[in-house]
Amino acid sequence: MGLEINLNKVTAIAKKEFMDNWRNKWVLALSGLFLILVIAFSYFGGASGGSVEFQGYADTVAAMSTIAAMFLPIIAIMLGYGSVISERENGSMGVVLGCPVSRYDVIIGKFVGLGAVLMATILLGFGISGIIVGAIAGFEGGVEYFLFMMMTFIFAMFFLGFSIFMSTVANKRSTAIAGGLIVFFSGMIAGMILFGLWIASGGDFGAMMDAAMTGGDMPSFPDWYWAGMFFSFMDIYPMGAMLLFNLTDFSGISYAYPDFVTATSIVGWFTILTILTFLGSLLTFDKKDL
Amino acid sequence: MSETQHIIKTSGLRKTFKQVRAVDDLSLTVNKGDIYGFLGPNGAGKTTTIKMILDLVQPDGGDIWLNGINIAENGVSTREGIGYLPERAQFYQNLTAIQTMEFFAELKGVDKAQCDELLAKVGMDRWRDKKVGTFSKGMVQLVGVAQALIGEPKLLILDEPTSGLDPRWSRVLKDIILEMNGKGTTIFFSSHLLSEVQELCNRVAILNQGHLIIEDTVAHVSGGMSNKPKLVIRVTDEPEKAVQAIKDAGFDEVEVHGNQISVLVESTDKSKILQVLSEAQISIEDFKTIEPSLEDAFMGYIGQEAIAGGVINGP
Ligand SMILES: Nc1ncnc2c1ncn2[C@@H]1O[C@H](COP(=O)(O)OP(=O)(O)O)[C@@H](O)[C@H]1O
Ligand SMILES: [Mg+2]
Repeated sequence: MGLEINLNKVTAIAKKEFMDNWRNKWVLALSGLFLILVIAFSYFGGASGGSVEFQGYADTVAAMSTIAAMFLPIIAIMLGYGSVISERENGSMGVVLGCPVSRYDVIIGKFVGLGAVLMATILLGFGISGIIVGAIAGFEGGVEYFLFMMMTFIFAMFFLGFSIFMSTVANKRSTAIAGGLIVFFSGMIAGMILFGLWIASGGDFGAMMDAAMTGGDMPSFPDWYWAGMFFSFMDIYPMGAMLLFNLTDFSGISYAYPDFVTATSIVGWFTILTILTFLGSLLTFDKKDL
Repeated sequence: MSETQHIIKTSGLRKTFKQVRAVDDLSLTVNKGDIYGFLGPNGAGKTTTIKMILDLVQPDGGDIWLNGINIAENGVSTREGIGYLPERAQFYQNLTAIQTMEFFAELKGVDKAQCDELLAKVGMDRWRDKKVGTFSKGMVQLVGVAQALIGEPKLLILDEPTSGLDPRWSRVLKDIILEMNGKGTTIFFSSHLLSEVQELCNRVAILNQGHLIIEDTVAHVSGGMSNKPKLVIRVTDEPEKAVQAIKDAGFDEVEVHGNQISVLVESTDKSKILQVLSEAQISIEDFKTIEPSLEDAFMGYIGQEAIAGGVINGP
């Protein structure tokens, strides 16, 4: 089918995706809930430290990045899983591709349009609360907060990309959503598996428990453990968020990170994963019978 | 663009889904200006063929040319100037009728100003700003028709276009087909309804179980099985005597049901039969002529095909 990309058509498809999905009631409801949670967390997040009031950006991010790590993947999967298969099932994809439009135009348009919905969700959820927090607690750390929003975007883009990919591979909607949920849950349990492996390989559980109880330093984990953490998506993203603010505490425990665990490497990792889902979608969809 | 007589041409098209041979060695030619009926029962392979023509489904073998250009060599641009209405299409839940139309105008790279006029043409202008997600099946189908007309297409490909439309809108659609054809648009439409093909088309192909049974003008196909009209006569009494008289006059294709006698005759011989009966002093209550229909031809062709298949697969 050749490498034919037409920017006007990509734009038309991206715009359509945005208009259709931004008004999806589930996406709207989740985004609204997310916004409320973020504001609540930036207010109550410091409660464990004895103060109930709006925290600065660093503490706010510390409190809400784990919640974002759950919410944004769900929104992303909801946006992506039906994006191709539903349109194949209901015939509208045939009408689109019956026009002088290439399959690349469609996939690129979907990534851009649905990515824009995610971006809008993040700007709404974190942007509004960010302005409130800044106005009350000061704008110190504002640049890092902005970078945090961008990191959140690329993190969520990976889940969006993966679910679009599943939507191009699957021949049924249920297969596509199952694929999305598998990455979601594997991203949650990878950390536990790694931890089990660490104990099995002679990790010092006692010292770790002491650190967790007393708030001291964690025993240092081996490099393979940290490399594996990159597959524990719901852990590595909040850690990256902390690192943006030069915080090495995570859930009250202080970690000694190896050199290769940095905010940049984490953003780079999610960027690479997103690109892979994008290329995978382009290649699968190119050969798919509608 | 090279000037060819044919606007769609396929040669040796094949497509198998797992066990099912959906399309088998199909060669079609649709000429510019045709209203071409693509006829066949459900499951014959019509939709699969249309999807291959539009590059939505990859053939297992064979070639397709649109305006003389092989679509395998130049996929995207060969679809310029085509309007397509799929079988039972749905659109986007949260877009309004006009937003949906404008989206397709953008994809076709044509002026969006015509969208309102086209919605009006299919009676959907009142619903212009309502979300398509709230429409009934028939209304969605009408948006689909309007969408196919965007950009004054040179070729309209319609997959079972009247299904889901009530008779009134079905009529409107047929009139649109005739009007577009009058302006030079070639129409290729699939159907399992003989009557609409017979009513609208100049050429027809009959497909059954993925095979092309015949491709010809509607007149030829209609005549193919029994090109003789059927003369149906109701007599007051003595039908046996009447049948005998007709047979004696040299007409063999006679059937009798009670007082009703049917004879297959050339139009020119009709008066001869009536004359024979009056000479035999048989009183005729009523008579009428039934022209051969595509339906008879269709059932006849498919029947023959089935018999041929039976022989091949027989013990
Ligand atoms: N995607 C598919 N997967 C499996 N079988 C299919 C698929 N599409 C069509 N078929 C089969 O191919 C045959 C032809 O179908 P189709 O082209 O839809 O026929 P028609 O449009 O004439 O009703 C049918 O037996 C149908 O079940
Ligand atoms: Mg069909």
